[in-house]
Amino acid sequence: MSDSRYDAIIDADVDLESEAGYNNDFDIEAADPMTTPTGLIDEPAATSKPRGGIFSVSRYAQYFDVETAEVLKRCWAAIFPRQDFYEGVMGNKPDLWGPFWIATTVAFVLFSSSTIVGYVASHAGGLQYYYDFGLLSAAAGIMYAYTFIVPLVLYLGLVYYKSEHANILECLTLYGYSNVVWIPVAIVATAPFQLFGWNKAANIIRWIATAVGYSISLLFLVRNLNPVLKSTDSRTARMLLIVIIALHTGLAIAVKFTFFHYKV
Amino acid sequence: MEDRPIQPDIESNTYNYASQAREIESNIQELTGEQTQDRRFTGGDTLDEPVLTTLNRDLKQVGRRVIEVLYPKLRGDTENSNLLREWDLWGPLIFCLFLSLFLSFSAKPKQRSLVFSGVFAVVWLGEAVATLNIKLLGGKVSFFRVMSVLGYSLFPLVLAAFISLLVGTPWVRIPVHIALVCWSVVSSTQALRGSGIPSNKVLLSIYPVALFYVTLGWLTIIT
Repeated sequence: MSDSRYDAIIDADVDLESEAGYNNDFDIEAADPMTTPTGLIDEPAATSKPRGGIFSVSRYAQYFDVETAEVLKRCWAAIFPRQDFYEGVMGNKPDLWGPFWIATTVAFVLFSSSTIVGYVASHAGGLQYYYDFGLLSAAAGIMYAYTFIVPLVLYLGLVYYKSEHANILECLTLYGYSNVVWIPVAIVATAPFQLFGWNKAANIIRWIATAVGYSISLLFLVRNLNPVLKSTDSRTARMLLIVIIALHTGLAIAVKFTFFHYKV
Repeated sequence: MEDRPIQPDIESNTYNYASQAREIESNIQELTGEQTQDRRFTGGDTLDEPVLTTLNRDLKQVGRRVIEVLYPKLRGDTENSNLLREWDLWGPLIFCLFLSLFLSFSAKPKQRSLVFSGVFAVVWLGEAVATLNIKLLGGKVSFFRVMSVLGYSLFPLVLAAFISLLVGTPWVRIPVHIALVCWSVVSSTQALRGSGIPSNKVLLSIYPVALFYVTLGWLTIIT
């Protein structure tokens, strides 16, 4: 039973798979060597133009064309919003890697932070701790809904009011990276003051942490969305700004009362 | 097919058929450009063998693959590993079921069915999304092969969930379970090494995999 017999099948399989997207236009481009860049085959699918139908992976690869260093830089810029995110950090390359995986990470971190405190509190009280699985679904639901639905609604609003800067990917990227700040907030919120019976102090720490996280992400959002909103008329811009602030406040309150609220 | 003398060596006989089949398959591929599916067993005719033999072979295959995934040292050269070439989802299904079962046993009595279905969904969705992420970042491996590797690497977490059923002390659980989660993450990322992701994106592809195991590992710790 040697493995070599698989080689032919597998190699052909891999080739077909990885180049399935190229086959169609490769012939056309190869016919004109002047316009064909050398090393066409080595070019990763991610950097090429979208090819294939809406269900092919290579079509979406362009939105995931980021490098590790870029993602870290964007996260950093969202926690310390000192420069303009659109011009200074994102450039012309919005990505969807950040929004999706940051939302997932924040959902997990909120769930674990919430369970750590419950665990510590019940063990200090000598009780058996049972975690609430519903918290995990709630965390995922809140984070995914906020990260993907709110930018979509904002985008539709901008299109409706005829803003020329409406771009769904940029809105998604902005909202996605604004969530990063909840990770340190959730870590601070686990401060184990309850072990010493200081329930009030623990609660105050959680309020402060949530408030700081809320202000940083709101500052980040408003500062970067302001130029976009300004492209509509001033009344609409003000209205959209109020909606954004209200939704963000809603998120912060939901996070505080779902995950950082304990009855011990 | 031409007549041939009956050969005493059955092993080599089946191999000949297999290699002929492979030749025909690759010819068909060349002609039609169609992708043929991998099979888990290409060693000969299995139509009239006893069911127990088939099951036994499949279970052995699952066992062999667990060892392959989880002992990266024994596997040696990753380039020659056939991990990414063959795949099956039997092992992942078994591990997923056991993980969900163990976690639901130790969950809050009212939430047992919720935990079972929730963990089951998290495992398959997590594997699928982490795999899709690898494909989107430019990985040149097939979807189900990565799913298979990620599913086989769940094995340490099944152990962790089983330990959690027996041991309740946090000071035992936390170090043991952290070690088991690290085992899962390291072995799965080692097995996925040859998937062709540019080096400046490797972390972006590993991070979701690690997050997946850490999430499930956290459930086994606090349960």
